[in-house]
Amino acid sequence: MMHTFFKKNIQTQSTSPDTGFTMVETLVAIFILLISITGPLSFAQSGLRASFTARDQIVAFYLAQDAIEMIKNTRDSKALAGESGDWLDTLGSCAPVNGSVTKCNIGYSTRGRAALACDGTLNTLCPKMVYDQSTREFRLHNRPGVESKYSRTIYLSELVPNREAQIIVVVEWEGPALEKRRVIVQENIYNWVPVFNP
Amino acid sequence: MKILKNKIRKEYVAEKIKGFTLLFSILVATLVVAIGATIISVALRQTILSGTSRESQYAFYAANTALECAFYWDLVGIPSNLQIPGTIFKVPGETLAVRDGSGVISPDISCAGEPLEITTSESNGEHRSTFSISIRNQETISGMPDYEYCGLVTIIKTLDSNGSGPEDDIIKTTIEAKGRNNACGTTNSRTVERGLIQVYES
Repeated sequence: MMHTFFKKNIQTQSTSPDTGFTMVETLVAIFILLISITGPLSFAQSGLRASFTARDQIVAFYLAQDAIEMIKNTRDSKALAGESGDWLDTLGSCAPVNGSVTKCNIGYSTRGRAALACDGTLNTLCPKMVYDQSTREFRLHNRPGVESKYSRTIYLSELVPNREAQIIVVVEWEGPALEKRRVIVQENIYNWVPVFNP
Repeated sequence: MKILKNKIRKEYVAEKIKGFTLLFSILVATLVVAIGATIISVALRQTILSGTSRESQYAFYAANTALECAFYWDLVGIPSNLQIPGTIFKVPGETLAVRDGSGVISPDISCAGEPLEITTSESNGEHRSTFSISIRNQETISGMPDYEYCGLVTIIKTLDSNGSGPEDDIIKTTIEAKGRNNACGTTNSRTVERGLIQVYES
């Protein structure tokens, strides 16, 4: 009888390490599962954030291209119209003066093209553009509308007088974590006016 | 005898189950590692891909600047002070010396602040002129990052003569401009090239 009791007791004790090990196993399994779920989730989240950044970047590049195309259009219009005067003078506030760098922004509206000089030193960028929700257009910062997150600054300078000009467009915006992001586009344009209007 | 047989079978079955646990844990671990590695690989590819679209824009504007440069010099021609008549890019059959006697082209013929080093060749009635330009910020605006892009240009001119006289000859010009998102002469795994072609007759 005594012998049987001890045997049973020993058997019961021998099962307890197994129970403990199952607990540790369960914890490890939960830990692995948590990692396997949170890992892909965090990657998916960063992927989503990257997609938003890519969307903002596409808008920024279109805004930069828009500015370059407007300047090129101004140059070509003057050349084709055969107007006299400096080849960049129709750019108004954006026209470079005496070889210096001009800082400005340019925009189109139903009333036509408008160039707007920006205050401050060359280092400070132009104010944020406004977004007209009725026409779904970005406009210059002095126009009515809701402030957008994009600021566009055009730096225009004549590299060779009456021949070559350098356009640098900086578009800056704030990312999802309010970090500053920018795209910088440069294009050099040339004076074709003498060809059409010698 | 029967008891002994049963005992052996039990021990055998118990050992078999233990081996299965090890195999199962290795299988699960491999699966988890494989899934993790795939996700990291996809994330890295996404980063490179998103970077490529941005860099391709820079390459495009470099190509556009190079195209403008070639078109300008072809339209406007050599400056009158150089006293070399005609277009800067040779027409087949013409023997214009674009370079001066010492083989150096005039600094007056420049784009993006650098004189053009034009290399010419002729074959099968096609005259090819090639040059490259480095595009970088020429003005000192503080706060601007340093960047340098490359524009590679090939101007191909062919003479279409119908035999009725030189005044009826048609010169067909093709400008091939390629832009790269890094400096001329350097390429790496993230180099992006964009190209533009302009064709016109005169």
